Amino acid sequence: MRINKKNIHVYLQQYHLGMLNEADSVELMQFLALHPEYLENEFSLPEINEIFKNKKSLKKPNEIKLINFVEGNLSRVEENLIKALAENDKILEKEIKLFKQARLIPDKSVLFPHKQRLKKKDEIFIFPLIRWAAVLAGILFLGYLFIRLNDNIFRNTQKTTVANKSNGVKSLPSFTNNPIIQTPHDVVQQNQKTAHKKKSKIINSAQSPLTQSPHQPEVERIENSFELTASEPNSIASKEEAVKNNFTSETKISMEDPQVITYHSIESVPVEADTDTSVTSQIMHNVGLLEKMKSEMEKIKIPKPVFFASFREE
Amino acid sequence: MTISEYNQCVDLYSDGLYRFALSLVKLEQDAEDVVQDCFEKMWKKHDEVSFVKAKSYLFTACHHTAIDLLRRKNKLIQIEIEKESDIQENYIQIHGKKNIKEVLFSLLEKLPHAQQSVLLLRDYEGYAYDEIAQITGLSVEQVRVYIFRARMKMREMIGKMENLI
Repeated sequence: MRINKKNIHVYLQQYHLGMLNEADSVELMQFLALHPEYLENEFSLPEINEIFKNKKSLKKPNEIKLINFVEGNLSRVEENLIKALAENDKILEKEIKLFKQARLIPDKSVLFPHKQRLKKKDEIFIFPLIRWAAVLAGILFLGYLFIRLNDNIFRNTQKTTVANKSNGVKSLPSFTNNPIIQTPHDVVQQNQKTAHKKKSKIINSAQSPLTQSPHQPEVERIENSFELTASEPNSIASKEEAVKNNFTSETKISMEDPQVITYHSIESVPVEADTDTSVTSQIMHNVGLLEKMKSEMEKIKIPKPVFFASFREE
Repeated sequence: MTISEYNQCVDLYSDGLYRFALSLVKLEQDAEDVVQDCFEKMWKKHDEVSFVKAKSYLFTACHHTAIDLLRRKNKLIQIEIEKESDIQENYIQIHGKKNIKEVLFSLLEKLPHAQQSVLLLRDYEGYAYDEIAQITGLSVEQVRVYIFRARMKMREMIGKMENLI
């Protein structure tokens, strides 16, 4: 045993200061057990309550702390503490440097080569506008065609009516000189009456050898048209169909145009100075002449044959 | 998102996205396809994605697209296996490398794919942990752990390299 009565006070002092290692402390406790008188004197062991407050400053920061330092996750106080430690500790400084190097640095020279291919152009938004413009243009064109067609038909109707009036013909059930109708049913009735009258006259005059004219084929065509309208005089439905067949174009278009839907009579149509006669009106003019000739021929008295009279007298 | 904003996104983010994709898929052609795919996806949803969130959307799409691509090419299986021998291999390969950058990128290839994405997003784009978690679909704690592990491995490699020098 190294502890004796001469050096016991040194060991006791070192023990108070906490400088004794574990082996020396054990030896001191054994000596004091043998010599308890040293416990009662001034070198008796006091209670140690004091704590070393600067432990943190002595500790080395661990790896997690260093990584957080490099990542910037620490508070400013902690960062300053590590910086202060690193200034006096070269090993710590080197450790921080290694962690700072362990960061990936992007190569800014590497660029995406096809940026222009990715970009979108404004044409995508212009395309619908073009499409709408095309639709609008189509609608306008159709509207223009509709108005133009109506206008032409109205003019043709006016011309035909004026021509008929100038020739003294009120109405004929043909496509070329069709009167503007009031109602479909009225047209059926009017056409039926007119058709019967004119048909009988024209057929009589056309069949007569004395009334052969260069317009004979036209007379036959009119006759056919009469047959279309008045083939079944007792059936109203068939008459209406016949009328519709003859006036197809005018009837449909006039129903769509509000100006034509307001029906008006022949007399209400303004008279134009145009005296251009259609083929039908010429035929009817010839028919009038033929009728005059027929009436004159009836006035002429043909004398009876003599031999016939004498035979009777005998 | 308007067309001009979308085109602005192309100017702002396509380069970063391309570098990110290139670091993951390694091949230029694949990286270009990934970037193009990401922008196409964003354009399809340009009514929903605002200009502010465009960058996050693009990197999220890039991360998933790149992973899908790697899975299709069966690369992920090789990358996911972490072995000690990889570190040793890299240690041997260090002799042939010119600088720390090459060493780090060679090490990056050996990391698990999730760690690669996390590390690239952190170092290349400077994303915060919560943003990285949102992009990769990981938790913030997972992101923190992945970054810590990656940094430790890299520090180890650089330390060995410096000792050799």
